[in-house]
Amino acid sequence: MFEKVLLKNAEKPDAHGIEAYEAAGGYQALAKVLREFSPDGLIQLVKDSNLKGRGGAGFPTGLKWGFVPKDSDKPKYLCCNADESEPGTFKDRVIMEGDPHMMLEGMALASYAIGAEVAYLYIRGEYVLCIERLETALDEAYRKGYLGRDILGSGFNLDIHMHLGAGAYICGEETAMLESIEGRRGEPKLKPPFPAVAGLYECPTVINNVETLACLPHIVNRGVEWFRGIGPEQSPGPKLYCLSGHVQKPGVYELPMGISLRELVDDHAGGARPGRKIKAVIPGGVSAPMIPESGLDVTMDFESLTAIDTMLGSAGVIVLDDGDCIVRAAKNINEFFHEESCGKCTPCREGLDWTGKILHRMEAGEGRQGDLEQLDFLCGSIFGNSFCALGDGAAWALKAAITQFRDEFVQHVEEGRCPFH
Amino acid sequence: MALKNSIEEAAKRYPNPRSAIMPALFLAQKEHGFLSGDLLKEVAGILDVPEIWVYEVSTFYGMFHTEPVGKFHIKICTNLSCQLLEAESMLAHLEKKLAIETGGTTPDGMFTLSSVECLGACEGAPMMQVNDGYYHMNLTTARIDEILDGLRKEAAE
Amino acid sequence: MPVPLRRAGESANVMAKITIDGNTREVADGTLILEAAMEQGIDIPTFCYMARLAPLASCRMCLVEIEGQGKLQPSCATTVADGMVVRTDTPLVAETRKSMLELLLANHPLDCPVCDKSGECELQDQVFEYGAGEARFQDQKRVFYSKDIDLNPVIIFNAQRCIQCQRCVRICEEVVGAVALGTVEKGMDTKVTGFENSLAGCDHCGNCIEVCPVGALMSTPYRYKARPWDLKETDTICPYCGTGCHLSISVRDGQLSRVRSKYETGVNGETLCVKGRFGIDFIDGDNRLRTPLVRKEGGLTAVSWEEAAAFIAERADGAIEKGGSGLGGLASPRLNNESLYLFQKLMRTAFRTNSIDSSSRWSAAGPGAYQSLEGLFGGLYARRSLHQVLEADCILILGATVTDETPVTEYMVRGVARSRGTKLFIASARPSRLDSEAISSLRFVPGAEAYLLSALLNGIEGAEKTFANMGALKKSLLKAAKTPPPEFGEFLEKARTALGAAESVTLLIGADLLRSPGAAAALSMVHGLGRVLDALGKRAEVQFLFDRPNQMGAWELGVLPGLLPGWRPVGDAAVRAPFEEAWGASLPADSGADFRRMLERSEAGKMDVLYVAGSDPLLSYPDGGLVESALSKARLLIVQDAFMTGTARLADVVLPAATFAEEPGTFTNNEGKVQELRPIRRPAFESKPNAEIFALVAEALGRDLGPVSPDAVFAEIAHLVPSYRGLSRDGLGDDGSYTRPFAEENGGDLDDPPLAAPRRTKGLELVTGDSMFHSGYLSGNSPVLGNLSAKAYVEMNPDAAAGLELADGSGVVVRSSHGEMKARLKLNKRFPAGVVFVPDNFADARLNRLLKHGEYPCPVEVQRE
Repeated sequence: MFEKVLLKNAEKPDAHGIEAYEAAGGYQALAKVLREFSPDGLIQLVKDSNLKGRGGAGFPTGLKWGFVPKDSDKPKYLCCNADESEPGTFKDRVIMEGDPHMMLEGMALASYAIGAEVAYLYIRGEYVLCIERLETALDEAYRKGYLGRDILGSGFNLDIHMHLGAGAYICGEETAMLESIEGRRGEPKLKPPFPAVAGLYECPTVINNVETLACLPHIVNRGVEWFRGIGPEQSPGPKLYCLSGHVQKPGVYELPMGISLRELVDDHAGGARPGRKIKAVIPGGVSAPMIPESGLDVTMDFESLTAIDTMLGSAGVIVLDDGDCIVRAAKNINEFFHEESCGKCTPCREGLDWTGKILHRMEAGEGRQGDLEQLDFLCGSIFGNSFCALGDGAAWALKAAITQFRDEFVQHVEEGRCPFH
Repeated sequence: MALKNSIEEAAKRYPNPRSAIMPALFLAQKEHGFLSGDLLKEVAGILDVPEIWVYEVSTFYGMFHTEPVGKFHIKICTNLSCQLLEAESMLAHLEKKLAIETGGTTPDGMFTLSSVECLGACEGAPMMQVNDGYYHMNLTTARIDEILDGLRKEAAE
Repeated sequence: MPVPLRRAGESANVMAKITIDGNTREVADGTLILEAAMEQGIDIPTFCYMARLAPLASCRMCLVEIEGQGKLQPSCATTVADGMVVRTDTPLVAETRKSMLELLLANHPLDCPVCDKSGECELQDQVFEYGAGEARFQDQKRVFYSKDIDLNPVIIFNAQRCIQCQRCVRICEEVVGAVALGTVEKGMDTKVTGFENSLAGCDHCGNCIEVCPVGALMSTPYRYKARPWDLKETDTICPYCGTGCHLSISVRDGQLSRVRSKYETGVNGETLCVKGRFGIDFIDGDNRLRTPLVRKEGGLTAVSWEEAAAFIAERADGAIEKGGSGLGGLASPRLNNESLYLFQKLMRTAFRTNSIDSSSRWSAAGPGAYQSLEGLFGGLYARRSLHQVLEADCILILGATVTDETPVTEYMVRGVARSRGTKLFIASARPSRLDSEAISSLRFVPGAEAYLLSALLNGIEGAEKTFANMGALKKSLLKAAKTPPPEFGEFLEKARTALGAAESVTLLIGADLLRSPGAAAALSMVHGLGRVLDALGKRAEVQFLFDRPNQMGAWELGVLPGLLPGWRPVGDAAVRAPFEEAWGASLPADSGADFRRMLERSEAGKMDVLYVAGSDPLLSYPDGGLVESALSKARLLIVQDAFMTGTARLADVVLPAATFAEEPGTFTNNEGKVQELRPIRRPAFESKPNAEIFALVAEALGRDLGPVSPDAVFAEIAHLVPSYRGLSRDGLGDDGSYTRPFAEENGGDLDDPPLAAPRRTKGLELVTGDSMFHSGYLSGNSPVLGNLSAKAYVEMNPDAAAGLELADGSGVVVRSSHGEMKARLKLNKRFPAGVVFVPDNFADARLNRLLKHGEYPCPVEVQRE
């Protein structure tokens, strides 16, 4: 049994208060770092741990922190990306509801490392329970002196402000999030300049995911060796996997990085519904190309999944079985991206509308000859040409669904109906 | 003015007033139910920003409503995991029970029914959220009926 | 020629080697790939790119292949790197362009047959060049509205055609600064619009229409009027303000169709303001004079040109014989150079008087004012491009409400403030949008400009040491403004620091300064500022921000009492000699009266002939009661104008003149640049070009005015006027030519002007001038502008209004010790409490009845009507 790290307190009911957190050793990491580490020292520690971002991109966290210029006299900002909106993903919600202080401590550590005195917690507005718990937690943390002026007498100051998202998936994209904090439409910005150099208010900014930040106190407390000892060399550490869809036991599972997808789905999450066999599994949120049953032995880490032209992403694992229509699933996913597109760039805005109209007709039994070829063309025009990863993700996912299950699409057109409904 | 004060308070968290537009709209919507043109103007005036900036934000983000909404806004997730777990049946059930189409409001102004994108509760599919309340997960039609009854009772009090 | 203002941080000295389509060149570091390609003559299609705007990279048309990069990259947003290898001509790039166009056409309505943009549509052009031959999209196109929306009276919008390039939103925010347009909804529902789907409150400049690549945003006055290929387009210069914007005026079958601006053309490039873009229809205003008129028994009666000329000759001959001070002339700084030159020549040689003035604001005609101007225009005035002049470390704007008076100049100032970090300071009576770009803005009522400048100078580090060399000016510099009034406060401190640190300083002076009683002193102090900054090793430049198109021309061509063309005093025989020779006449030597004194003489019954060309002093000259009475008493009042103005109604002879669009000529703009005016049609009705009328009048008086063709007149000017030496009309070129400084740098003696300290008044003070929609009587004759702003208003601070129990929009009476007027109240929270503004163009408001010559601002009371 894998010893829980991130969900240890979260799984206990009513362990989200500061007393419970402190009793379990909470805020010790912060105290230790303020006593013994310089900001650069902490950056090096995290670099050594090989922690990779758990928001979706998988970028090495320490490396990202290191991009913040040391010689800039502009204020630095830390932003916590708690806008979790990738379908199939709910791990950050579970952390924030169950162990908000762990995340706050992580935010404090990250802020210290990059020299930020102000941090924004960008949390989606629909996460009402999380928001309540975090408001309480912030209050408690301030009262106990873990936030505010001269934290634990160290001279380090930090204010954390919550900024509520208002229902826009695109704000999970880091530059769109910065735009949103600045009171604008959540449209992604050009890079370069990168946020580490010119981000929020044109100042050096680091954006980290909730789960990434949650790992930090543990790395500090238990050390780099311990962290690197979990999972594969290149993607170490404990990982939260979100299981949903047609699987027996949906929920969040904390296991090492690098577990096989088959093991995750069958052994931990109970496998397919009775009388059903698994048809395909989406491994990392709906932007990630689906993996057919034959590919389920792949291991759940950044590198292995990239190697088979999909991704770990947000580790939102959605299971489809042989009773599920791939075209219908593809239509649902496409509608999501179409709905959430910010509308800035041509391929995503216009392309996903076109694919959506085709998929709608196909599923309704009104598919025409040439529709599938048009989908091929559209996937090709959108992928690689979009302004940000939303368009790319949508095209990537659709293309994979067609590649893996082209027959189903053909069948819909030729039979003039959805064979599953 | 209570709204002005709370907006100004929120604005202190940011180095410029434009950043306070989103929190200001949440506060205004909470107080007035929806964001009318006059209310948007008022917010723009309090923050001293161009009206169009407030207008843009009020229409871009799904949680802001520029049209009146029912007393209880029922939001059913119809994204993939929920769809796989029969969210559309739940939606159909609600349409029948409330006698409205998705997107509509009951004539008595009590209920608005919307289908929304992933709310991050996929392990409890199908699920829904009412206004800014806690999630109702693992729905069944019976559960939905219970919730509706509870809401109607709440409204009567 | 607009310089890309974005890339302020680049070091132009560092070069990068870039290979595009096999061609290797060195380009400046920081250059965009797109611009490097353009320099090489390689065409890369774009929609969202505009040189003046920050890159957006959203249309994805400009994607190119860069060796070593997996994805195609947007060339409009990627800067060159040394060693970069780019290909714009590969099958993948071609395929991608085709795909992007096909995607755009999917939901784009097939409106070409009914769309105004057809024939000049960038989408059409690019589909033709790069697109597929057929559309595969066979589903329902999305529709926003079934009918086009009137966003405001001049902008109509078809949302379906929009391709989301966002140029309109960005130009409204980044360049114009109005922030009226925005983008609502998201995804496929994305739409550009104004607040609550209306642009009722915007500037109506129409720049959004100009930059829209398709037929989404359209001009309402132009709607359905013509196809581009039907139009005859003429390039000319705008007659509204001194910025001197280039206009492209289109005519169809002799009818004015529309006015456009053009990329990379003129000082304005693709921008214009509402007056230039929509206000040219004044040329067809109802009040156009059709025939010459002469006052007979029954009033003004239509007569032939011959009869009118004879009438003048008959009445004027005696007065000219008598000589003396009973003759005078007033010309408008809206007339072109050739007309103005001929006017003063006519007055001097035919009417034999030096009493000549241009309606250049009231108080500049104070004693010594013109001598100050001479020094200024000799060497200190920067006769070079405004773009370059704005590339200073520090810009100080004094006495101008730039946003209203010279909007396109304002766009450019905003540009440098945002992209170069220029330290901008504004001291003006009225607030404006430009204030938000400034380091500090001072609400400054006219009167104490010299004092302010002196206070600035006294505080600049190292300046005091230079005062010893400032001649007479030294006295006031040393005694003044050691402890400046608290009102100047923070502005002074910040400006002094910035001026001290700056290597280059530009001073821009507005029309309000010229209205000030302290104008002469201020101009001397400007001269002093230039000298001191120069002595400190800084580059100091000055330009005026005139609110009339040819003020420079009027002053430099001698439409001034006592000064012959070229700023030379008429009393000096050596100065008169070359003119007497060229004109074949002996010239009067007395210095003549300014318009104020002409009015006084006329009021006293001593004005025999008063010739008013292009000007309406009954509307705009202060002391309206005196003006009306005095003009009525002139024995022969000749009014030459395109319109029946209030002044014309008092005339004995009315001579119908062509408008700027109906006669050739040149204007000299604020930059000192001479630009060519080209007529778009022949003069309307029986009107004649101004030059021809002057010739006709001269002939009637028995004099030969000489050749009046524009070429001949210009050649004469170039021969006689030092700042025009070396210029020729056919040498002007598309971009015009600069006049030159005619004295040594900052030459001449400085005098010691009286420094008036700022007054502290208790009540309200009224200031006037142009508004966003109006400029003198010209704009009132434009149906479009008249519709956008139909009635006079009083602009005021809300707290001050509340104190008087006045509400926004209510009818009020404004009263001075001289007169009163009625208007409606317009509240503006940015107005300082003690200042009110009434625009000076509304004839029925009769604002000038309240105003007294020499007093500005005007103390007033405002009460409920």
